[in-house]
Amino acid sequence: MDALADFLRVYQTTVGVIGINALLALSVWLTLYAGQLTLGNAAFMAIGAYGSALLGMRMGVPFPLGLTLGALLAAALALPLGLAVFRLRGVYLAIATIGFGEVLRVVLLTVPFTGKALGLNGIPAITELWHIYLSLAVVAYVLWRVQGSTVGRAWAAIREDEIAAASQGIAIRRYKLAAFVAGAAIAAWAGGLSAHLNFSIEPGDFGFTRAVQILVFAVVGGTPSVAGPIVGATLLTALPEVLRPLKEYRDIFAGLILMGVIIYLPRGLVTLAELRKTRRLQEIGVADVA
Amino acid sequence: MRTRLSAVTAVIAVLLTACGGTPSTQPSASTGPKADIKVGLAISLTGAANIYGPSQQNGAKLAMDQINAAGGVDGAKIALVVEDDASARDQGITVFRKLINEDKVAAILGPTLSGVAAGAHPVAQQAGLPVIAISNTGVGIVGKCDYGACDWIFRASLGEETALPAALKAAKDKLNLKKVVLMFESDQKFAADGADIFKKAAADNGITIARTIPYKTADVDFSAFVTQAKGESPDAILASGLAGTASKVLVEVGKQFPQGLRVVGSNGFNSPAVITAAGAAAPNMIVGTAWNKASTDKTNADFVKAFKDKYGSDPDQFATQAYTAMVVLADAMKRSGNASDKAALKKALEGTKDLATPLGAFSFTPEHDVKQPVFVMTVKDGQFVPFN
Repeated sequence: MDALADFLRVYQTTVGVIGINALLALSVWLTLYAGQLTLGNAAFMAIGAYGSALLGMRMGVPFPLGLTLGALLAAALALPLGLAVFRLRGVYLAIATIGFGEVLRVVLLTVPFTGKALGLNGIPAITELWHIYLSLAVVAYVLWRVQGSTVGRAWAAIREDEIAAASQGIAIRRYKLAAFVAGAAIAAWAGGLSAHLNFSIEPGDFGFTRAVQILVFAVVGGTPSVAGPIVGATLLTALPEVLRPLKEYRDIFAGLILMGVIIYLPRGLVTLAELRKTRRLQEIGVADVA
Repeated sequence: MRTRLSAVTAVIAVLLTACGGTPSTQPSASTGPKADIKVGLAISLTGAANIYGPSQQNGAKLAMDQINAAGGVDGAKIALVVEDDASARDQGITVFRKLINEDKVAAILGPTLSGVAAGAHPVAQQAGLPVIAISNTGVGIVGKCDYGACDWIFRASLGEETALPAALKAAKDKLNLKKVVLMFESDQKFAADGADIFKKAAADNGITIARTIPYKTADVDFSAFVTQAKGESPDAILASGLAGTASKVLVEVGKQFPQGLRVVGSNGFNSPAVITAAGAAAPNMIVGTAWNKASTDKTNADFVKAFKDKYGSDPDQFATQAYTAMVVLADAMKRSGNASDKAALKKALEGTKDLATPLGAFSFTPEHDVKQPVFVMTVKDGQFVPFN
């Protein structure tokens, strides 16, 4: 127990950030599960972070309420945005959501009450590790259960073939929008938690790099199951600290590991367990290369 | 399932051991060689700020070697623990926690970026460990901080709010400025702050700003801006911008004022790259800086020579400030009597007064900010030289 306490004294931020990144990865996994490639989750994270921090610091709103309001605000913004951008598909949809993120970043840089380029500093550090991991457990459980439900099956159908799904009477637009709005709310919740973990936020924290990073967590971990994004976020967040003894070379090794995963496990880390089975099936000529 | 579970456990175990590292050795109370005094250096060796970190590391290491060669602190050697924060706030915080809890350092120098400092400094403040900021020039680093009390934080890097007024005052005294035009890069936080500082300094010195002309980072053609300025027939131009636009302003002023017009610049002008890019127009500039490389002061000359001998290149301002902070810290440790007593070390740091450093006579103000001479410089023959 002492060893754990010592470990947390040093790495509590890393452990917290792992949980937050896992939540973010799940938020993008949700839209991926419905077959939509969106990159707006960094922006929704920003809305949650700035929303909850401003409500708490300027108006004294209690932390749980601030988090909830931040998530609701993100969801409320995601709804009209989703109505507009879901006229697009694939890479065009991704670009439109990147555009939203950039607009928001520039707004945060310009508006006085968000602190412009310096961001918000001195945010009280009230996020506890259990807040993060309880949120993660709830979100992961709900998403896991939802896969077998009507909604989950509708999402899967849309992902596999939109036209076929529509011809089966699935209200495509509505289901896509639901995934987008729910993802936005999760990302905003994670953003609020992260703002109160690190004392400080600035517009640059929520730029294009962050949007891509969230997607990479989900893809490297693997999109076939809920565990994928969590595993991906854990590995990629812990890696820089685990490789710290390598000093200046750690980025090189982190990059090599990332490349290795993508080359040998293109469907994500969680498919590692299935790998042997797939190999065997390939050998006897039953399965195609995944 | 069973094998999978055990594999997961194994992975977690490996991660934990890798993260945990080796427990730090306890300093022995017995006589004999004294235990090293660990000092943390948290800097950006990789990521966006990776051009500054290595300079800072070289500067601090040189100071450590010199101090140790001269007998260390009461016989104890100083050992630098260098950690990279990858220019990221999350990692900066973890690095601070590691230095404080695992390495049990006596003090920390850093971090490189103000954005990282906003997250990392509160950690040291909470733990009650002295920190010297070595390259943060923004507001809210020392004195009045957003996160509450920050009495464990010191700063060895000259802020814009000291450098710009000093440059303007020197220019006024020599050129008898009455009417100026202010140009600034309106979409950059530090440039916009610099413009506000210039406005206040101009008012304090009884100088009228006839016109304020904002421009953007992406602007390429400055002829219209400078023509606007020329319409006011100013005695000088004040310019607050980053290095990229600084040279463009200088070049255009050189073109439109062939008889010469002085440009009092912000920290962005304080770069050899600006001199190169501005070419023949560079001698118009006046800039307030923390350090004069060419200063013939013995402490500075010795430092520049030692740095060149060790690394084969000239030091820059980042290296010099890191070197200075290390020297200041070692001096305070010697005076505190017990380097592992943090409160005593803090008190000794507060007592730093007129210490001879490459930056000149170095003291800390009651707000823990640096008090040092400001070097007002201009350019001659492609080199920064003292103005006046």
